[in-house]
Amino acid sequence: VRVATGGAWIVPAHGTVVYTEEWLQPAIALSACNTSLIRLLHEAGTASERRRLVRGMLAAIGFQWLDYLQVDRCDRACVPVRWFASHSPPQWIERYLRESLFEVDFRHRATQPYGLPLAWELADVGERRLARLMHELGLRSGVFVSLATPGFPDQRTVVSLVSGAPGRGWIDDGVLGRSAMLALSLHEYLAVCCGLPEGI
Amino acid sequence: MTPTAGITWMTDELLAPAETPVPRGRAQLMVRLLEAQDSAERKQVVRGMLHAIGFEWLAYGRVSMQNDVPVPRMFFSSYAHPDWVGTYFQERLYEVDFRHRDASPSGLPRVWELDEVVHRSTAAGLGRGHQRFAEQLHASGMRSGVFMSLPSAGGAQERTVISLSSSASQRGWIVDSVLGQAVMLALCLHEYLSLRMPEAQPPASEGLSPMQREILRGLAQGQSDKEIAYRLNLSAHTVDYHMRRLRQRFAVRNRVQLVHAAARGSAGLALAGGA
Repeated sequence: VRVATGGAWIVPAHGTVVYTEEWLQPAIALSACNTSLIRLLHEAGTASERRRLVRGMLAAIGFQWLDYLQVDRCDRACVPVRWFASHSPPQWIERYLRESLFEVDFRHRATQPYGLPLAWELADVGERRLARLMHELGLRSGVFVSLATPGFPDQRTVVSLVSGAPGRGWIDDGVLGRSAMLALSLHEYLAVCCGLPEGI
Repeated sequence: MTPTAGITWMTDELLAPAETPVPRGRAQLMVRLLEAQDSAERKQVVRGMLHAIGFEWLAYGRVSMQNDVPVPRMFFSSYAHPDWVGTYFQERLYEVDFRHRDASPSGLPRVWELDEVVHRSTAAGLGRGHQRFAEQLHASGMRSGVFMSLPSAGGAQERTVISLSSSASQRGWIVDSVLGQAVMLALCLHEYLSLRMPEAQPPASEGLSPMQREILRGLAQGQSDKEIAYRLNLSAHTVDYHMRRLRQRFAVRNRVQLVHAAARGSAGLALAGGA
């Protein structure tokens, strides 16, 4: 950690800004575009309350963890620029960045901004180091959503919902739809209502 | 419906034929679209899904936002309300359609209802066009809906707009679960049409199969043969076969030359992909 401030720090390997609920400063008013999750997050008084809300929503769909990040330079490798870490598995971010696993993470290549969400399972992960880390941490299936980033046309936003359930057979269109809505709602809340960190 | 100057009009029947490389890990709805034998079957799939969620009409188009006013570029009319579309474009009602301006830059869908449109159209200082917009929505029987505006390839002002509309009054029925299904239908159609629209394809690709275009797109994005094979759910052997055919076609000897040759023919934009 090179620099740290309330709820945000920089991981030196690639200069990625990592931040949590504690860093957020929600807007006073909501726009006309909102969902029940956004309204609940907006009304929540504390970081721990917001954390509980998102975890509850994740669990209701069948997931345990969620990564929310912006990635840059997707022409070669999708390098993480910012990472909202509140719902990521322990050790995942640190090792993913330290071992530059984003360079071999097939999910970035398999999705386009506002394309369809991708359902994946551990058996799909061809790269040995990434597969080993996922196996160690119990990350066995998930949904990967790629979105555009307001204000940063060269950056993609990635929302990755992850489960310990083996196989992707349980991820039907209903799960994909609820995942897409959770991803879009959280993206609206973090990128539009709160704003993304531009240095800490 | 009278075609309007400057707008490319598309229908399902005009789409490029699908060679159906069904990608792995995608929604069943997308698989059904890709596996549909013809336009009639595809329309049945989309209309069936629209009605199952509670909507009657779906409009899909591309606009260029200029000083906060949408300028239509393309409209796909197969699932749209025919009377509404005619009036909307002939009377340029898109210029007063506040949903374009209200749409979130995050892509989150905006839920609307007719009462809200009527209320806003009567605000002081607004011209007759706003009232006409509300009147025409009412006359067409469109009373509530979901409106999405997604960033498009080709510049910050370019947006792809997907609008699902219903005759159900009030917006209360559009709960989060309905929104989730609406978003999946919209994204499936968006991905499908992005692959099949002739103007979205590189000019150099005339005569190329959709699968070869997809392989070229992957190549232009720096994907390895293995990654392309994974994304398109093909064997490495099939990708290798198409690579050889493409190298012959563009008269080049390696993949780097192939990317350059294909990009020259496409102005480098369509192959790079995007939303």
